[in-house]
Amino acid sequence: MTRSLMIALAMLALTSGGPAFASGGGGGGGSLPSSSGPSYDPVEEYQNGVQSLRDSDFKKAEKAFKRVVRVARTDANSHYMLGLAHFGQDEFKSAAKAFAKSVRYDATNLDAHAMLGVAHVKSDRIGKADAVLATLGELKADCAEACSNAAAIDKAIADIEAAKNPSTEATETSSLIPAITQATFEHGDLLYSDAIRLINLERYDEAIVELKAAELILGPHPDVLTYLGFANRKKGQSETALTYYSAALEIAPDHLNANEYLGEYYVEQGNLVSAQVQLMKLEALCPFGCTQTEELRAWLTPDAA
Amino acid sequence: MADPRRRLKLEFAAVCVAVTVLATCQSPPPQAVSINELNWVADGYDPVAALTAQPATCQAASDAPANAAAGKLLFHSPLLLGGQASKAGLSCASCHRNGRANQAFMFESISGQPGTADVTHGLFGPQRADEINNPVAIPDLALPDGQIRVARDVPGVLEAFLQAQITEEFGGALPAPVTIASLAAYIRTLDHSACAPDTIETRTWQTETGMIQDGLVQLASESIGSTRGDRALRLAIRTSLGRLHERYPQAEQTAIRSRLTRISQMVRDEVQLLDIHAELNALKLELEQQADQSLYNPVELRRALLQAR
Ligand code: HEC
Repeated sequence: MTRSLMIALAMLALTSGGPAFASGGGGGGGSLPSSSGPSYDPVEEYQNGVQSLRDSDFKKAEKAFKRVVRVARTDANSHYMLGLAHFGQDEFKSAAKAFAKSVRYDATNLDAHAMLGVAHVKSDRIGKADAVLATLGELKADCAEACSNAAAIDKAIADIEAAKNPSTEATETSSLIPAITQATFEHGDLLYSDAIRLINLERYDEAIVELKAAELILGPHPDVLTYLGFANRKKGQSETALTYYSAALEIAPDHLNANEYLGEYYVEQGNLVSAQVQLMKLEALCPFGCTQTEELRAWLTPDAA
Repeated sequence: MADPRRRLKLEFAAVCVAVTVLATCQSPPPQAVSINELNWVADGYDPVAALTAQPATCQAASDAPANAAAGKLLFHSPLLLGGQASKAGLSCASCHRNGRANQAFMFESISGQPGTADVTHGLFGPQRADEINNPVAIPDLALPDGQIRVARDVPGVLEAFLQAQITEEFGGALPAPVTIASLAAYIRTLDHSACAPDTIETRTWQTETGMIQDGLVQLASESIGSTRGDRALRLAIRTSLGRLHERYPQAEQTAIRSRLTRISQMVRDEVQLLDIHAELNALKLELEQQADQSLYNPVELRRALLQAR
């Protein structure tokens, strides 16, 4: 395995020592994230794919992530992971294609930029790699020294430069494996529930960081996507919010929270007809009443709240 | 390391008011067990015992019996709470089973040991959110003075506690005064000396229909006099019907499920209470006829749980 791939995989390990609260002992309790059911389960496929990447079974990982992106078509993480799976099989052109999609759907994913550049180098398309470097240069200029991404941008640039310099090559694969397996799905859940706490405290930027980290571990989970939408909406990023709600509903059309928040979004946009449609949908989904219906109803009839 | 499949099963879902298993939500395969309560039965505790029995009802007489009866129904309604707790389908009774404790309670990131909860966790609501992980044992609300936190005999104290608890700990909407009064009346009746220690009782369909009936009586009474209070009661009745729905999932029980859905709509649409009572009476006959085949029957429930596995 090449060094750059190992670095990318190591990113999957994330930092341990997450939010300080009980894991519930992994018990069979009520758990997070909450959701209603997708008809097909890209989350499970994603998690299987991550496991295969950790096991260096890139062929299997590729299969899994291909199935994920068939359902979660615009999920940047999944395209990124698919890229890693190709990369691990030395399929650098396919890898570059996947990384390029990842970057398209989430331009802030610097690891994807880095891997895109490296994949271009590996497939001898130095010109394209330089274009990635130029993009990163622009990001850096926009962001200036003080911005929180500065270090990550520098690292992405350094990774691509290193790939262009053939003296830095393969180290031991096995040394990475324990680190990779650290990022448990429980950790993803903890990140998610801590993000909800932060959302309750209206600390949306921090919540988004944790949700994105959770998404990287858990995959395109409709719960996570929904709250990414919610946090963005509360920040005034209504178009981003709509994208996330739509992504969640594409995977799980009957997701209660996503349907509720989409309805609230419509109310905010002044589109009361569409909001009413959402309310009717929730009524049908909850024949015995549910909070989501009642919350949306309160948005539509504020005096009744 | 978690098995991803297992993880998904743990989702808590307010879904279909009460569904547990992600993939089964939309079109439950025949006889799948989707009882929301299963979500917070800790590993190592028998889910059948947890779902078919509960601590015995220990209640003393109330000086406001109608209120206390409606309060018991409200105590079981997830819609009284707000935010994530409510979306998960948690009610007061999820933690305080039949007003008592719940040793098997486990809610990931909220519980420490089974039977504990951190009610100041920011997941539930912002106002009392602390950064400390401090789950404590869920208290038995029927214990005598000296062993309970909130005085029952001083007028207003329990009411103030309940209001703050709902709006601050659980991020719920401000309940109507009549709703708080009913809850308080119910909690005041809880009295451990009214039954032998450590006794349990069987849970049956009557557990729900009894509460539904009490809710309908309260709806009819003048004392309600508040749209908000009325709405809370209606939703409490509907969630109770939903719990019955979870217990009658068999193919032969389609008629029961349709009737439950119809009654829920009638309650929502505020049709004549007399008509609702008539439907409820018809329902009771059907529930009784199918009781042995329902998931109130421990044998059936165990079989269904094994099949679902
Ligand atoms: C997530 C579990 C949970 C839910 C849901 C819950 N409680 Fe509690 N309750 C607790 C815990 C834990 C305590 C102890 C908290 C403490 O002492 O700080 C408690 C304490 C109390 C007390 C004070 C103890 C006493 O006897 O004076 C009352 C009263 C009470 N709860 C009533 C309710 C009511 C009414 C509801 C619904 C609105 C409710 N609880 C919902 C877990 C819960």
